[in-house]
Amino acid sequence: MREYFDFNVMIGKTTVVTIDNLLDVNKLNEEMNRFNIKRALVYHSYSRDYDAYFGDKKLVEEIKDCPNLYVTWTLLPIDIFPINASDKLLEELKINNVKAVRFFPDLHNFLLEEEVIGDLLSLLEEIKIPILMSPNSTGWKDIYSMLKNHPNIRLVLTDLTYRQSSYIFPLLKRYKNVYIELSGYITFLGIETLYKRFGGERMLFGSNLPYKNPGSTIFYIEKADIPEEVKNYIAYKNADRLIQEVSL
Amino acid sequence: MIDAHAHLGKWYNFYYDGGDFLSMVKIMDRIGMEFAWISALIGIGPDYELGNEMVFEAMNAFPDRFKGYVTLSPYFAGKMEDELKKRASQGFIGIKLHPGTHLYPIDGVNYLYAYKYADEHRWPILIHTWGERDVRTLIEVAKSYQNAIFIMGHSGGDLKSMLLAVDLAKNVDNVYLDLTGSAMYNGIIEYYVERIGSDRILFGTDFPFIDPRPAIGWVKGSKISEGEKLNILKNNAKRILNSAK
Repeated sequence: MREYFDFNVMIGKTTVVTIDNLLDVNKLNEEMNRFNIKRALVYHSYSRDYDAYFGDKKLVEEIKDCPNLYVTWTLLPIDIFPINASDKLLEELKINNVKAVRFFPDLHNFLLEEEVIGDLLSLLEEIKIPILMSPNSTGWKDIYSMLKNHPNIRLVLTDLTYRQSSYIFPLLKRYKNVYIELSGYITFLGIETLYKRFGGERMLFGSNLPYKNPGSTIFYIEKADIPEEVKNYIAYKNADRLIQEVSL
Repeated sequence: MIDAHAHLGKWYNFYYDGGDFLSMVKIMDRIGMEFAWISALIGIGPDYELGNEMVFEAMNAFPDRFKGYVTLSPYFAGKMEDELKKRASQGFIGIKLHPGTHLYPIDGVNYLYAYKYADEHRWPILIHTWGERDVRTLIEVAKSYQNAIFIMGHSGGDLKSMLLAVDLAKNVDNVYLDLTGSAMYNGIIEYYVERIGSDRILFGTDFPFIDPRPAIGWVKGSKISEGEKLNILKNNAKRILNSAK
């Protein structure tokens, strides 16, 4: 069974609970074992649904004994984040061993305009840290303009849908550091099409736990008509490389 | 496995490679899909007749790999009888209605002939549902045509409607819950099986509108027994097919 590195996992309680599938660290590890997911990049629900920095610190505390889980911090524009100086933020990211960051612009009520987020993006660009973001929590125009201003950010598009190839292809063509997390990109022959057009180095396995079953994306990858070695890149090698390249 | 909710062709507002029946058979071979029960996407869009013709072409090319639903439009209710007779003689089994694209209510009078026909022939009738109102309406219609098999397409679609669907379908034996959907909520399969068992849950993917592989992985990765997975992935669709006149 192939090993996997999951680039899209959330732990913690949420405001809305429809089906009881929420995860704490123990439940997450059980799920990871079921699917041979050896490592995962995790964010905390409190960062999304309550307070970014509070959730970020909570995440660090909750996963401190799990070397297989990596920290994703949810950030806000530097003017409204508790750590509102670049050097201090860098220090905090380093101390807390943060390996990726997330933005929820619509949910957290901020714009992706240069005046709002430009300084922070320059900083993140410099340290080569992956930025995870769903186009559904902002908008494609914002993502396009963000990349125009900061073409070297390592942008991982998460929670995509099967209707978004027309937005994705031009970005992959122009920006070498744009990545696709596959859990939502379930377009027909999507993996094969991305591989044929752009190669296999910018696709990442993600489950979107707790909302989706990891089996979905794993089966999609395992049954893709692409070389086995490329499947390894998608399953974990691309993720390992991105994490290793963070320079804090 | 059998895909009881599949399509054929292209869709107007997004891109994917393939979508023709050859590309579909290729992927079906790759994943071990026995057959797909299809309606053409153009049929639930602007031309139901052309859609049915495209399905017939696929059925002719690969008789063992495609079963056809007859797609009907509520705007051509006067032609339903002829279309159903013609397509039944060509080997189609089942009816596909899409109240969502046609902007027509499930309990609208122009669908009545389709329900009557399905009832007389014990045919499955796959109806797209989205939202609580569709779920409630389909349940009420199904109670009036108890020989027909009502496949609740997407089981209501959004999560709250899906939860309502299983509660309402529990005591209406001719309603089947269709798993087709892009969201593939983690835990919903277990939730369904716990409430109504595995005999009235149908596997579908919307293929090639959506790739079929993630949905298969979702079912295979769910925490239910192997027997329950087999019912969902295959046995239930076979039973419906075998009971049709």
